[in-house]
Amino acid sequence: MAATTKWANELRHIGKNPFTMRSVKYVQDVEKETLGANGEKGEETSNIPPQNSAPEDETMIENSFWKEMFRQVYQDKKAFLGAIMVALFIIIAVFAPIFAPHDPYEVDMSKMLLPPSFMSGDSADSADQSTYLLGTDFLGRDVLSRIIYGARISLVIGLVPTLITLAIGTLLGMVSGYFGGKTDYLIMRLADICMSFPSLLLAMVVMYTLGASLFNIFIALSIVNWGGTSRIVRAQTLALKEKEFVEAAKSIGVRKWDILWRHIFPNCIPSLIVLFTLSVPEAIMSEAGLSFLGVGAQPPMPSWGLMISRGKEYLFSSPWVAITPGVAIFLVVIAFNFIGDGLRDALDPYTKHE
Amino acid sequence: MSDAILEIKNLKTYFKTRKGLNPAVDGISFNIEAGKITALVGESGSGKSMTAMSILGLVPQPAGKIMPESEIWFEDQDLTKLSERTLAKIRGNEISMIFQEPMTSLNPVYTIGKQLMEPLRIHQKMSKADARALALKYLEMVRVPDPERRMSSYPHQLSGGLRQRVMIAMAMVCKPKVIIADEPTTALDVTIQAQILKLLKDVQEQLNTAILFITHDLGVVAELCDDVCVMYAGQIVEKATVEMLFENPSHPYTAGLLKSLPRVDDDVDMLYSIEGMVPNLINIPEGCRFASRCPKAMEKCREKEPPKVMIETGHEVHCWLYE
Repeated sequence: MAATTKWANELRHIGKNPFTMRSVKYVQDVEKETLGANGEKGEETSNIPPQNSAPEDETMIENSFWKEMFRQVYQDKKAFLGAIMVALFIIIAVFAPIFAPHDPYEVDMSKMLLPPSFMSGDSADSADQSTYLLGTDFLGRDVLSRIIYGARISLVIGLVPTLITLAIGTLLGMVSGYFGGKTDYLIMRLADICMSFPSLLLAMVVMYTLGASLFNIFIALSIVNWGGTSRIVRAQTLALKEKEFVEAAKSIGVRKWDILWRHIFPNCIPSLIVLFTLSVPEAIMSEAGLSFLGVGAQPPMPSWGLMISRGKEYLFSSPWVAITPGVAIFLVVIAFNFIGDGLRDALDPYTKHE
Repeated sequence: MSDAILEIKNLKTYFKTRKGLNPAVDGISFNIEAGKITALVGESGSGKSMTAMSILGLVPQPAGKIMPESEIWFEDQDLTKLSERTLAKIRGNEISMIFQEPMTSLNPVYTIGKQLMEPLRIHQKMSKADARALALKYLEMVRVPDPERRMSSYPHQLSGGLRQRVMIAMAMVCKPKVIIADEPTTALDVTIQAQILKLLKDVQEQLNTAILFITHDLGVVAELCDDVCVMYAGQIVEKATVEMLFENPSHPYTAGLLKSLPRVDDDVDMLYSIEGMVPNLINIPEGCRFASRCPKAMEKCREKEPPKVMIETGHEVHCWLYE
């Protein structure tokens, strides 16, 4: 008796868990069909009542792709933390004027290299210092305000070149994988060439040729990174085009480009999402690197990489000028990586049902 | 044989391989008549599926090629000579196909409803609402329970049997004149197989379409089909109506196939099997392709290709035995 109750409890538990829903439901479907066949042996199968789906079927959670993804990320603590940090980063970047206590461009030589307010303690002019939470730099500008405004640059750098890269890489990768032959050969060798250069070097060459500006960083980073994307998409396309649903789509008269766009591309989206979240921090790092080397953002722009570069001369006397933007880069990059890892686990069928 | 809707004449589909030219389909001719179910029977690798792919112009490129002397006549058009664009208009609209694997034949990212509406939107340029209504009607017709809700389900939420029903509905929505069913029940449980076959027959009678039914299951053929073509190594060896074929299986290969079927009323220890393997098509032996496995093979069989013999009206055999 006790055993039965335990069973019932367990079954109820399984029923509640949305994870096992699919398999429970599948069993129901199969049962329905086989019952139909056995129950009416010798009779017409046509009188399966169309409304015989069980009422609890109705309450079943329809696990759509997006819901599943969000649920998985929500359950993964690391990814959830990453998501909160990224959300904060985006909010701060968008509403920078509200958050920043000072004008990031305002030069005041009388307040040069003031230490952060929390470090100075009870020094003489503490009343004045308290407004500079993270101190001032060598031109007397507020470091905190510059970091907050710098988030805007990093956000744009993180998103725009990554999206351009993904668009180019996806298009070329799909064309390459689907059409094959000479097209494939040409595109893939081009990708090889782009990937065989050290990426920072290639970006620097592009920046030197085109001149240092934010817009040119977009171009440089896109040229450097499309190869990897196109390879991944090509591999996916190669696998997908052999699938029967592509054959089926052809057999109902769907044209080539429609098959690429409507049947193959949507199946690549999970990989592209992961690729996107993992490429954003890479782009932010590259920008910081280029700016540090002096070919990226130009002063007086509050770019994090540039701030580190200019602050390194005062590293021993006033370390906060260089360290704080470094911490900002670290936090943003790690947040994006957390999300990316979480999504990858969520969307990878092999790590799913551990 | 006058009301043939699809006439296949001397169809040759060759594949280029590293070892040489592989004649997967080698000069077959048969007709599919309106409102009838024609079976194409043969073992794996006999060229059944390639025949289907050739009809729809979906032979894998660039390795496969339909040879120029082939003709596939459908409504005064030779399908082998049509452009890709014109062919796309025929596919799914006039001739459609049901695939073997219901588990992978539906695109996992779209709902059932959206996929059912696709051929209607492409070919009939229907509005969304009209297409939806019609798709729903067809889901009912293939007896999917609770069709309204299934329209918004994703393929992974359906069982194999349900998916195959959806595939059948998808092949039907544009009321094609010919449906090619490539082993539609091979991947399903036996109980569901019977339901799907029954459904196919019902729907076929309702819409009066012709079906080319590709299978290796002679039991299914006996139950479902009107005409039969038996294929062996890329060629048709026997062509007859179902009654004639089961009454009087004339080609030794057909006889062997029938003999190797398990029977309920006959208790044997071992099932009969045809000795040997399908010959490698790249180096086809001279003469009859079945000669090396044929229990009745003669000298002549190994030297010259066998003639086509009409042993009765509508019963054609390619064999030296009846010359």
